[in-house]
Amino acid sequence: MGILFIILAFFAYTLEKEHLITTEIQTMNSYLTQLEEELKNHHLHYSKEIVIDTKGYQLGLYDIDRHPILTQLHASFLWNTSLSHEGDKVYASHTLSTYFLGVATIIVSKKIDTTPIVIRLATLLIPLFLLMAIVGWILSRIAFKPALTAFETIDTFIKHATHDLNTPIAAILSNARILEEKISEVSLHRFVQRISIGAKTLTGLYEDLVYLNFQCDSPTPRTEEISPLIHEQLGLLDTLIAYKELSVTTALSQTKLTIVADDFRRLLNNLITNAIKYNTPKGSIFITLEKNFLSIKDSGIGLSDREKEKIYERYWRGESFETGLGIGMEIIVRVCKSYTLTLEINSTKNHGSEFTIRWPQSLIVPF
Amino acid sequence: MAPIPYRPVLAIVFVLPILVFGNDRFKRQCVPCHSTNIPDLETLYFRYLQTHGSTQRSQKTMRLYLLHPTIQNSTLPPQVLKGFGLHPPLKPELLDQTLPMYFETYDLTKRIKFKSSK
Repeated sequence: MGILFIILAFFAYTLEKEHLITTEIQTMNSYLTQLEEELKNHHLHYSKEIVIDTKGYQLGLYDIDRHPILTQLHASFLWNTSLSHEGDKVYASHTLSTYFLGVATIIVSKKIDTTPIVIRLATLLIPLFLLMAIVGWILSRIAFKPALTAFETIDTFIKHATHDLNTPIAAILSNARILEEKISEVSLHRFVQRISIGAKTLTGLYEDLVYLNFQCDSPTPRTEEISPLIHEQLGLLDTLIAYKELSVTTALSQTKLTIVADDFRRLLNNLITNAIKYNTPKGSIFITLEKNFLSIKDSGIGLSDREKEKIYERYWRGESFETGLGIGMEIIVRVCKSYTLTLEINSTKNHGSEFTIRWPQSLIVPF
Repeated sequence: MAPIPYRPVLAIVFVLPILVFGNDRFKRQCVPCHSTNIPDLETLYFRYLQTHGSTQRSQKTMRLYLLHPTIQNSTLPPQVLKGFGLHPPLKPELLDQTLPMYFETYDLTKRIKFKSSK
């Protein structure tokens, strides 16, 4: 809309300026005719003193050879045209049929002042632009209101739900653990296991939502060994892994980084959870930890090129029946940004994905 | 030694005598006659300017007429010439001295002034 207004203002200015030039040239021509009469009178009366009123114009009197008799003009005049304007100067010339006082050509020039045009256009267009901007803003608010309301509702719901989730989840988990120990019938263990998986998934979601919505000041980074953190997360997710009958292979070298352990726990949890969730039953997971990188490779459903672009969007979930809110990748990206980690995704649809995290040399603690 | 500025020296040597002697000869040989029974010098000046459109052209045409005074070479209409008669021919040396003085005397650029009422 801004560009449209600039174009409109430019055209309006050009038209107004052209009109001003035309009007000015007409006035100049009247003056030139009047001046010819004046020269004629002086010539016929052999005037001893000839005073010519320039009326604010710059004036030049030239003989037949275009030599100046008396002139105030310094700019080069286009002799081939009778009327002209150059920049903000307007010229008009008049050729005399009889050379009174030896004058063959009279040229007048005036610098045109476009300030009134600019002021007039500004007083007209700026309020119009503001009015249209306000109307546009109001209309866009009305048009996007349903979408904005939906997003606000989701965010508000998540924020409210997060507060109240912790206690019941803890109760479910502890009671499921007690039930598993107390129930002697093996066939019932599977049902208890499902309750436990559901509760652990809810715990992960709860922690992720707290991290995204109520991020407090981060504690000071400390030297942490990464492989115990990986084992810790695998232990937490063992129920899920066992349920899907996945095989997990690890090749972990001793790596120490200066980090906040909880941030890396969250990062690892989301990466491993994704490798489990988007894996096929009886599939495999390979976790490799080297001094400079961590790689988590699965034999799951993989990602198409379009999905690779969409995974960073909040609330996006893959073509899966698995649970989740679609905020896992956002957490991964957020942790990566805060530690300047690089994330590489190699994925082939229906063949699996490999997520590789590389960290800068500055994070590595030498042994 | 600093070089002598040649232009002022040339002006003093050649132009100054022409002006001094030219002015003198113009006043002695032209003005007395033209003040009485033949066309007034100022009238002629305006007439030449009106017809030829520049001082240079007027001077050139007047010189040609005064060297070879014929009806064809004259700027004045034949009927006017019949009344006054043709000018006697003049020598080039005399014209070299008097004509510049004549045009200098009635020079219009000295008379015209600009003023602005705005």
